[in-house]
Amino acid sequence: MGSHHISNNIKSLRFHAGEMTQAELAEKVGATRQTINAIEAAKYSPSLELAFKIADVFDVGLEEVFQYKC
Amino acid sequence: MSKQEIYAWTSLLSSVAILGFYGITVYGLPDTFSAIESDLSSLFIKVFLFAFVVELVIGIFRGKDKVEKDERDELIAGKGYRNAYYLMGALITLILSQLVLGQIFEQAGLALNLINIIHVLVGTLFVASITHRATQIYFYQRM
Repeated sequence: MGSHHISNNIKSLRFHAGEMTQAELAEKVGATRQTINAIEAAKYSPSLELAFKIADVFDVGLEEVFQYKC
Repeated sequence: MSKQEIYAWTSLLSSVAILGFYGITVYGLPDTFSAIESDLSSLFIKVFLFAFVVELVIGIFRGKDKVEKDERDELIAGKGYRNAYYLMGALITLILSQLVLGQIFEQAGLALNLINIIHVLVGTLFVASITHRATQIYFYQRM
């Protein structure tokens, strides 16, 4: 998946959003908790649609959630 | 472990059990292992029933999950189908090629009669199913 180049701040964003759990975030974006866990661990790169949904939950831009490093 | 991952495990167990039971029923074991043949058959039946019960229990108790399947599950399922398709294509080509190249296979002592071809084709379906589920489990661990 080439996910090693994509890092994210989901854990920190969840913490600052009232200590939101992975399960709560998963429910809000229509994914499973395991998928959110895999994204957080940078094992899986989400689709653009799911990435936007996650950013939308925290009300921030996509680049604040995900960072790409060459 | 997600519901889909549990289904991958139970389906893998079921396929292995059915293939094992089918193989023993059709071909049996070599004489040196004939003493454990009935025990092994019984084990395969128990494994199949165990997998069936687990799938049933998971279906009942985790049926209220908000999201049962998402894009990651579909991606992983796709990888499983791809590998199963490649393997099944290769095996079926090999099996059917002996109909065309019968003499070559006969000389090598690998020729199968019609009944055996059918058994091997049935076995191929289960091997493809095992490949599908094993691929899924591999990617569930990796991503």
